[in-house]
Amino acid sequence: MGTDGPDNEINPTREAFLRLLRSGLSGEGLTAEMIPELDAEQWDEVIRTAEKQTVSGIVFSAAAGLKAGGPPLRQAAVMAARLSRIAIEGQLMDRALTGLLSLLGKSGIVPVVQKGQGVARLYPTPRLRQAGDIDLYFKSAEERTSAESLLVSSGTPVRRMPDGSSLYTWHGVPVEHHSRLTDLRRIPSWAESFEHVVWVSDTDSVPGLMPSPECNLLLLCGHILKHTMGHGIGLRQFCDLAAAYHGYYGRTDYDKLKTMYSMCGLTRWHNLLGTVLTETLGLDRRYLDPLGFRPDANYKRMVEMTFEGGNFGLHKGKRGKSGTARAFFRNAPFAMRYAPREYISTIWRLFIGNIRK
Amino acid sequence: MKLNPDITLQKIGSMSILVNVAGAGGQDLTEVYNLNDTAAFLWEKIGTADIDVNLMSQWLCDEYDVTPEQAEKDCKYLLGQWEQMGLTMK
Repeated sequence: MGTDGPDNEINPTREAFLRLLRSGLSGEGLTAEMIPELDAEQWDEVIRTAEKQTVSGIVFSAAAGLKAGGPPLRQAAVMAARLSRIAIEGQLMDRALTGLLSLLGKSGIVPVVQKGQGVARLYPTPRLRQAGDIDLYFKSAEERTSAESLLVSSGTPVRRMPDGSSLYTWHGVPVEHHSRLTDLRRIPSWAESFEHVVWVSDTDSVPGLMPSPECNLLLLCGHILKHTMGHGIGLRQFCDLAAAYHGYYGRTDYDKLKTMYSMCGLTRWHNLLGTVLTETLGLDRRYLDPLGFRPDANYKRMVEMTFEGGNFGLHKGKRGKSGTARAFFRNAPFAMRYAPREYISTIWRLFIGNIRK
Repeated sequence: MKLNPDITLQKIGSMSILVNVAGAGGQDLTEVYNLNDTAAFLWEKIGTADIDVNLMSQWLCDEYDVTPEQAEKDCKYLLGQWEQMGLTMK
């Protein structure tokens, strides 16, 4: 079940961590008999892993539901403090997003809410999904320029980045405007077209667009691929994908999604990710079977890379330009096996980008 | 008098833990308190309302097998402790 260490011995700490994570993701409660008995040090390790993987809200809320066999007082206090902080940060994030969409909406600008905020509502308890920033995409370059002019004129400095994105801070929350809807390089233009974006409104008064289920699933798969090819990926992004497959069940055009995966050369990649979701996060196969899901026996390598990397590989030491290049070359065999077209395209762009500088 | 709005109650397993979410960002464990069941019951019942000893005593009598006199005495003692620890505000 993906809980074995490299030496194939069962690691009770990881097993407990994963059972808590699965419980938090599914919203199904746990009893003491369902997780290994842990001592204080092992609970400390569960806390460290949850923080590293930025899934503290999900894991700690599941631990909070244990009537017996839960953490000792000190570890419980750490979890209580963290859950309180996550709740406050979530409120700040929601208020910031609502305020930003409201400001833009008054000028007729309706962006697509991507990634974190766009996927949090698919979780059984959205506020437990920690989000670091707000990611927005606009249906045209003109609309994005108008949005950024509006922000600048209202006293919010906006920085244009070399990769084409824009960054600013809105009411204490980092916001990024993306030039593309997905992180994929080799994607048919129709898959990113606005025909595939549907209206969703959290409240009656604040407009906000969400990618369609098919587009969002492709976006999440591509996002994991991009970071796996580079510095690494964390479990939170897998949780997002699991929440999306589950949350979109019955609303997904599986034939269209299957075609999109195939046209982007991601069928094998999707099968690998799907195996991680079913074997490690406990996602029911019925959410993947309509896509012709075929489990990949090598999924444990991906699991280990994820545990090692943490949130976007931020726990793996030095980064920088040379570090990025090294990471891409180190991951070449893996990436070439699962998404060769994307990998070659990404490496080519990195190469061109470097000789232009 | 009200409960300090910077303090929130979190239940972790069978424990009821008060956390000060202001200032140290909820990470300062010197400001974490573990309440017993009765205190947690009263804390939740009070919520954001004004603190009323008579009402608290009534809640205790309704929930537990205790005389009104003992309930009032216990509530006053508890509020004194909460006040000392900065868990309430005027």
